[in-house]
Amino acid sequence: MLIQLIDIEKYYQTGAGKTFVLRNINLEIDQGEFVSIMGPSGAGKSTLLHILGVLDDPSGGSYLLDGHEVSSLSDKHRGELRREMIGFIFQAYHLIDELTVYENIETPLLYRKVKSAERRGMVSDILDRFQIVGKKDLFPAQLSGGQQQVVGVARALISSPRLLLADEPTGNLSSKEGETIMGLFKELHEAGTTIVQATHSEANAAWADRVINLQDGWIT
Amino acid sequence: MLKHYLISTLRRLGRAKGFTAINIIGMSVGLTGSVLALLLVRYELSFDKYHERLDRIHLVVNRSVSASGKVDHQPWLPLPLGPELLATSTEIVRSARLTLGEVIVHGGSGSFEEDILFGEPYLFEMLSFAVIAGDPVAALAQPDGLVMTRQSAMKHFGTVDLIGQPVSLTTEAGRREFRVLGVVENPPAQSTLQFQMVLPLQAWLTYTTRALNWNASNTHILVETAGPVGKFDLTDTFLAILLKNRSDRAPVTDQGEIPTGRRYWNLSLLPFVEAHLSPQYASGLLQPVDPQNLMILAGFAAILLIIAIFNFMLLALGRLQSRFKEVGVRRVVGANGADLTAMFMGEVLLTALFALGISFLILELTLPSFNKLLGRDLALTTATDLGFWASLLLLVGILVLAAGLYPARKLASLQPVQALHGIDPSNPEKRSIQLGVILQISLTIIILVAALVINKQMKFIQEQPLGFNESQVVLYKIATEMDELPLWSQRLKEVLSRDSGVQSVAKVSYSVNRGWNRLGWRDNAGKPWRALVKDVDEDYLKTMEIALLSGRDLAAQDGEEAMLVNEAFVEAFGLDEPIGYVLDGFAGDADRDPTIIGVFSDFHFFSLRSEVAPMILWKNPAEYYQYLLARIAADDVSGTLQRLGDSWKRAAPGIPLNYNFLDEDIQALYIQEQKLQAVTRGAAILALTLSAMGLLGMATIEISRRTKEIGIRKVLGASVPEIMGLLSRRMVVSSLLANIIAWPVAWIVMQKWLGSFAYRIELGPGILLGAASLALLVSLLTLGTLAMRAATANPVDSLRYE
Repeated sequence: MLIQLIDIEKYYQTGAGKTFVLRNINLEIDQGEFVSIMGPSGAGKSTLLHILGVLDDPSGGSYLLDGHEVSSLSDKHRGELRREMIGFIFQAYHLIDELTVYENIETPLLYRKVKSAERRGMVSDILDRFQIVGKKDLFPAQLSGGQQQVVGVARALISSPRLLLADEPTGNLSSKEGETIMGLFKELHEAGTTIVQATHSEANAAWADRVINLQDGWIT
Repeated sequence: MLKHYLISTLRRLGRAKGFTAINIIGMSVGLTGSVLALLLVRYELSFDKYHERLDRIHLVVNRSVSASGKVDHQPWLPLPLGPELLATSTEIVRSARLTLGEVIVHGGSGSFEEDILFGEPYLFEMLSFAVIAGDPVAALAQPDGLVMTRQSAMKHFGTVDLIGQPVSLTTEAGRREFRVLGVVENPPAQSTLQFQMVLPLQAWLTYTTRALNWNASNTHILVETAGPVGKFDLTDTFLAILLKNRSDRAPVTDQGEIPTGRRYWNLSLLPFVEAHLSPQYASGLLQPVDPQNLMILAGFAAILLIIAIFNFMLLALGRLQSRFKEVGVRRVVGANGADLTAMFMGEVLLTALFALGISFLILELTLPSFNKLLGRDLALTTATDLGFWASLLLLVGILVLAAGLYPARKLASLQPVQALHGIDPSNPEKRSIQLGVILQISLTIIILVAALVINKQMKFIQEQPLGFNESQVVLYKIATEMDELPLWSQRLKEVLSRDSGVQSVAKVSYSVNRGWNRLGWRDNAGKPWRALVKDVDEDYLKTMEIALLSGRDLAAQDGEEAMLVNEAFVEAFGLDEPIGYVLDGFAGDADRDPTIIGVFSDFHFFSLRSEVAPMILWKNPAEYYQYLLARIAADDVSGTLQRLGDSWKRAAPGIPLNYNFLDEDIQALYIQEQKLQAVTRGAAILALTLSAMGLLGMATIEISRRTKEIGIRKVLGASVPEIMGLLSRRMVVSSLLANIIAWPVAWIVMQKWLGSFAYRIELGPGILLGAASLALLVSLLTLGTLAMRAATANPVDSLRYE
């Protein structure tokens, strides 16, 4: 089992008391599974993904990733986990504006301290695979939304993560572009990557093995 | 990774050109100031370091205490003290007496006046002046020996190959021949002792009459101790010597009591290495700098650098939000806190290195004029000077850490999700920014106060009535042997007086600040007194336009029995009826009892750093007048000077024409302050500009943050002045709060500086308020233009901005 969530809660302290975003989440995801998390805005999908991606801490409960309790890890080890194991795709792409397509994709490898020659090979491969070789020297602002998301996906996959987390990956894309991305996920899934995506779209959710519904922070 | 950071940093800097320019310009100005201060301080601290036995060389100095407890620092000592020290103390192994003098060199290319040293042989053994030819030690042991520097040898003879060469010199003792027995390299610029030629002490006229005189202090004494500085306590030696030779000046009496009611001497050793930084021992020979002024300069540099650091830090904090997404993304792909800190610090380092490059460029361009201003030869030292580069590295390190560490830590501590959503959970930087702005403005106010105080004090000094009219007075030097002075001073006075452009001519033994005597007498109760004495003739008061308050002026027929005293004299000695008062046994001569015939108004003989001292004017009994003071008519000054020069050359072809204006002489007393004034003015302008640039950046950030708010307020009916007020309020509050920090600091520092002037301005609230208003005005002007633009913008645009 790759992911095990036990009684996970997430709340924010506000003037009136606690505002819960996630409540009593118990969830297990196996290695190689493709899971969609569905729910309306504010249901807690993104927060759940952030916790899974070690980007945020739960307020309570336990999160075991590959058998390790995440909450006890230091900043350095969390960085290591993200580097080595997790790929993240965002609805808003989140590319670094000052870097070209090539450099954006290369960034995770730099933090993994991959050697220069190897890095070049890996980035070239992925540019090829996503057919964006011609765009490698462009900056994010020079790309369409779909193209940016492709780069975002390429960046998430460059390190061949065991766990791919995608937060509304097609939210800003045309249906055709969305279709392409989903096709890609399917391929990855077939190759053994564990994928968890948060989505509004039933059509997209259907690409997954399992759909988890989230409503006001509860799994329904 | 380095390349990746470098590329992204360069692109980011290029994208935010305005902020980058503010940061780089600010840092380069701060660094330029700091490097200049570093160069200057290192320069001043490395004086005399080239002497091999420096740790054993000392200057004997006298911290004399007057009957009223006033301390007077003197490097001038009686001539017999030198040999006496050598004879009395086993710890002193060498001694050399030395003093300044002037000679006329009759060389191959004519007669020139030259400043020289009279010194003893050990001088060249104790100090390390590179010898080119001959033996300077042996030279000074010969009565007709002469040591020349390369420069003077080349100037007078065009060669350094001069050993054995006879040279005709006119000293005070007359014209005679000396032989060049040593040629040395020119003393380095960082040498306390500067000279062109050195003659044996015996060739000094004063030496021939005062060699055994314990009552006159007219030599400097350098000694070499058997071991390094600090190992010796020569208190007992000095005491024994004084008890034996000048018991009236011994710091304790025979019975071991501390003297009361009389002046006593505290002789001590000043390590020669400290002489350059001991302004209290300034003399013609020693021209030390005031460490306080160096500290002020270093302080200015530090403040400029700190303002640049604040600018950088505040702008970085203000724009932190623009980095959130990037930080979040980097976190997501695996960066940890240390990676992000390193990235941000790298950016700061890169900015600092750009700034350093620019500051080197600025230094290359400005060093010559800075050197001219300070009278130094500072240079960007070569790569071999490790100390300089190490200090520079340290400086850049401090700059980078101080400017970058806080924002870097802020960025690195962001949680990935917060960063991605642009949320700063603690949001403390608003308070940090406010505090930073306050500190930055307060530093600017401190520099402004310093600049205003220094400026006002200098103006005060320049406008302070000196008690005489220094303008249109020309000072002529009569460079001839002593015995001929009575003849030539009278003859040249007559020559100058005959010119229609000359209103009055007076003979004086010294110019205003160039020399004096301190002579004593006994009062009715037999108590000894001393006062400054100037030798002048009967036309002195008239030429200098000094007011005679009572009695009569000196007259042609008066001799040494008549004297004039100043108001300070009358007050200091409590004379109710000064006219007719007799000074018994004046100048150590029991038969000489001159009478006060007149009282003149106080005039400033020294700089305004010291108070007007009791002073006597009388005629030199031997008529040794070395100078003529000529008051000339204001019209056609150059024509008059030309005619006077011609007449001089006709009347005295053997005496070089050497003159300068008295007011220039007076200004030269304040040369250090004038330099400081110029530097302060520049520093204040730079500080104000840097501050304004920083505030401009901050205001840009603030206004762009509040664009939506401005739009909403305008839609709700706020007027332009109300919006302006809203935007300016925080800046005004910061500027006002800054004074709470700045005023006490500036007041304490500048009060201390003013303390070194006996005559000084009051550091009142006016200056503090002036500096505060100036800082506020600049802040408001900076903010105002931006605020105005934001306030008058179409609210629809403002809202669309979101």
